[in-house]
Amino acid sequence: MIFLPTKQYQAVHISFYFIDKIETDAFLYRFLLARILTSYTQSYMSKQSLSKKLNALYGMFITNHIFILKDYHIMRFNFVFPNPNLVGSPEIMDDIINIIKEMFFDRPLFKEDIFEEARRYTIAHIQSKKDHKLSYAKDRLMHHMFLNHPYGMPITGSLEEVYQVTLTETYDYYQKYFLNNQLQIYVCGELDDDLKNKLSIFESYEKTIKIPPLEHYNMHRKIQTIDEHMNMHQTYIFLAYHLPVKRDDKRYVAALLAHTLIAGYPESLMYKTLRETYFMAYDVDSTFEYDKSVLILYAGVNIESASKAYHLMIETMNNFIFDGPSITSLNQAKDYLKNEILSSLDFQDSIIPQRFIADLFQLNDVPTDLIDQINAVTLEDMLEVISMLKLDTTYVLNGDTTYEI
Amino acid sequence: MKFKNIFDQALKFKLPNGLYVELIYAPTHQTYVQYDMPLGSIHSRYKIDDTIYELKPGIAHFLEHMMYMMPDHDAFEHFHQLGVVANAMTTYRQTTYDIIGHQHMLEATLYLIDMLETPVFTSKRVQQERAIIQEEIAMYDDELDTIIQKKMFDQLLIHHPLKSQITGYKKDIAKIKKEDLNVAYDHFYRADNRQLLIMGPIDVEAFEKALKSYAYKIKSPTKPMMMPHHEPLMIKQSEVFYHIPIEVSVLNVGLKLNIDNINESNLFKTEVTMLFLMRLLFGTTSNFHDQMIQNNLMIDGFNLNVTLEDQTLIFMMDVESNDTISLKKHVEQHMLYGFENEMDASTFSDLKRAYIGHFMMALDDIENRLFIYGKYRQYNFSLFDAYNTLESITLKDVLELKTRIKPQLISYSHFITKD
Repeated sequence: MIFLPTKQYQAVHISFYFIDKIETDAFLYRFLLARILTSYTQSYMSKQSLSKKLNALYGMFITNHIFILKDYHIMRFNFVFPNPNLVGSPEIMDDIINIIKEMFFDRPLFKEDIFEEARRYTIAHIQSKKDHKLSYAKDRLMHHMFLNHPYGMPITGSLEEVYQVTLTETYDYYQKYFLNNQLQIYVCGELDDDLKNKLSIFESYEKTIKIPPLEHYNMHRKIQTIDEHMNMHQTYIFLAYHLPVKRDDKRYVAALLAHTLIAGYPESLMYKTLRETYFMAYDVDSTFEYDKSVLILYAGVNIESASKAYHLMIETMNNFIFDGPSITSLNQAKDYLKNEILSSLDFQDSIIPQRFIADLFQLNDVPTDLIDQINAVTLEDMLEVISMLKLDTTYVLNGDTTYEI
Repeated sequence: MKFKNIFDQALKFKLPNGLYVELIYAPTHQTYVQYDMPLGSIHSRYKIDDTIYELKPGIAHFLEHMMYMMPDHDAFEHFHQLGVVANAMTTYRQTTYDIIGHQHMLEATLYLIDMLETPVFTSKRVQQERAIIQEEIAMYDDELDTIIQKKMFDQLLIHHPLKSQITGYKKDIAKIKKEDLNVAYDHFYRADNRQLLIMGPIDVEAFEKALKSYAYKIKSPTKPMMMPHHEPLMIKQSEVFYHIPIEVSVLNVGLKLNIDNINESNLFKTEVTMLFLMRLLFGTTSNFHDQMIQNNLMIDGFNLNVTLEDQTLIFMMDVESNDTISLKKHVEQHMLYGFENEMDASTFSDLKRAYIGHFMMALDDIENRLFIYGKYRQYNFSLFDAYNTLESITLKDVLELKTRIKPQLISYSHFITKD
């Protein structure tokens, strides 16, 4: 268990990371489990009674985040509550520990009604994906890029699987696999020795397992160009570039700067081109997913200007790959990235995830080391990274000029 | 109860040109600068001396976009050259300009002041920025949450400015001209209730000296008086079915109340009391929630939201459902007659405790804390006042508010798939 002491915050965060290898057959079970486990415990046998108890614990709340990262399927459960000493009730820690313990460990067969509720929720979640257009478009892009590779599959499992899944097999998965996951626990807040000692009960549950690397996905292929349509007021354009720079690669920070320069901030190339020069977009963005070796560029553009915007984006990227950044623009992007890192250090929510990633990839650097690494990046480093960018997939979700609600 | 993050050690002063300043030393990694203008999207009519002026919908947000244009350069560019991050946001009540950074913060602050004192509105620039804002509106219009909220405002409100959304509709911003922007700028960006809040590891004395000796272009403040909006106590439509391209149906329930008291403490109390009431009736601790989930009438819990602006309170709650018609009948019944089953002292006491906990935890987010602090301060209300108000709410207050809910003030929207 890792304690991350802070003095400035009034909340305590406790995160449980359950980590396993990526198996698409298990996606649905893990999605259902996240819901079932946080719905009730042995002491609070319904959602209603658990909710009442959480209110009594000064509004403690539980969030879960299910994601895949490089070779790992990760379920993060985060428990957030006001520091018991600050609210003058140190005794609530015993209740909190008991809830967490009962939530994850030694659970009897799940209740039928809770399982059915989780199943209905999952069905609605899958069915309503199209109702959330941008998130749907991102899923479609990943699907087209990675096809049947796990990176291209929905984290929820498929609708067909949800219709067929049973309580017994979900519980079986919980017992045989989930409880044998790698488990890493983090605590962030201002904790005295007494609270720390109480929490140390969870140390016995932590474990490390050997997780084999995921089969590599070969992205060297002809460029894919995909167009789809939807009833909406804008057109979404995505350009996905292959960029094989992993988190522990010495070129990682240069790759982050490339993403920043391309569309990662208001002075970026795409932002200046699409928004400030041609006035055809409001939302322009990019992400660098190092674990999947992709840099994704996105713009939500005016429907009538979509074709022009698409070609401008391709042309701007080609020029950038050919010319690289100027020293002035590189320095500005460095400043922006340093600000992002320093701001994250003022934000309690980012402290545990940063440490978790460092532990998962066995990185020795702390966030402030990244500042030195940013300062050290040269134009040559940038040119090396930028030259590795290869366009893999373009995905356009076209809107409709006649659409009105 | 001990609070760590309430600013009681700030250096506070007001400049002759009306700008109020607070300098707050804090051992953070970054310095946070927030400049608030007292112009938000709900401001539609005001008076200066004896003249009454009208504001076009969307103008506060339009101004926010325009202010980064300097005569010969883009202010964003200059902020980034200084190594700081700039941003802005328009809310119902104000427009906020932020800068965040760890270097050149005094220089950046003075530049922010210069930017906000340098309006450059040409017809060409207005036209160009309009195209960007129209894309922003299009983006929001594709979000289901925005659609749900807009439709309910249309059903509940007769002519309250909340109807226009913060950005305004596309048709509204098509009417905004540079002359409108100039008038709004002259009256509000010089107003005597502008405020500048700075928090971080700053040299307070150096900031104080620089801010007091700076050559401000704005020499004397204006005093625009907002005119209250008299929204009729009636709703426009009580139930509407929208057949839209949607995969999972949604029921949205809206309620409108007029609040007589304009005291900020009372408004805050009413807003929170309404949330208490609705959480007790429909939240995850309620019997109603439990039964509707068991009966497969709701997919998950309600999203609850209260807006109280210009003496009009709007409550909304939406939920995904496979049968919005049956669910609506249950909600209607429960809203009017279901409280006896839900309002026990112990559940109320736990709910209040949860709100106090959430209030404390929300202050851990520095940007959020500074924003809330500034928003309250504009209305002579403090974070301590907010906490004390929360503490003072009783079950009796909740039950009293309950008596004001009448069937003719409730509206329902059903969002149902076209197929």
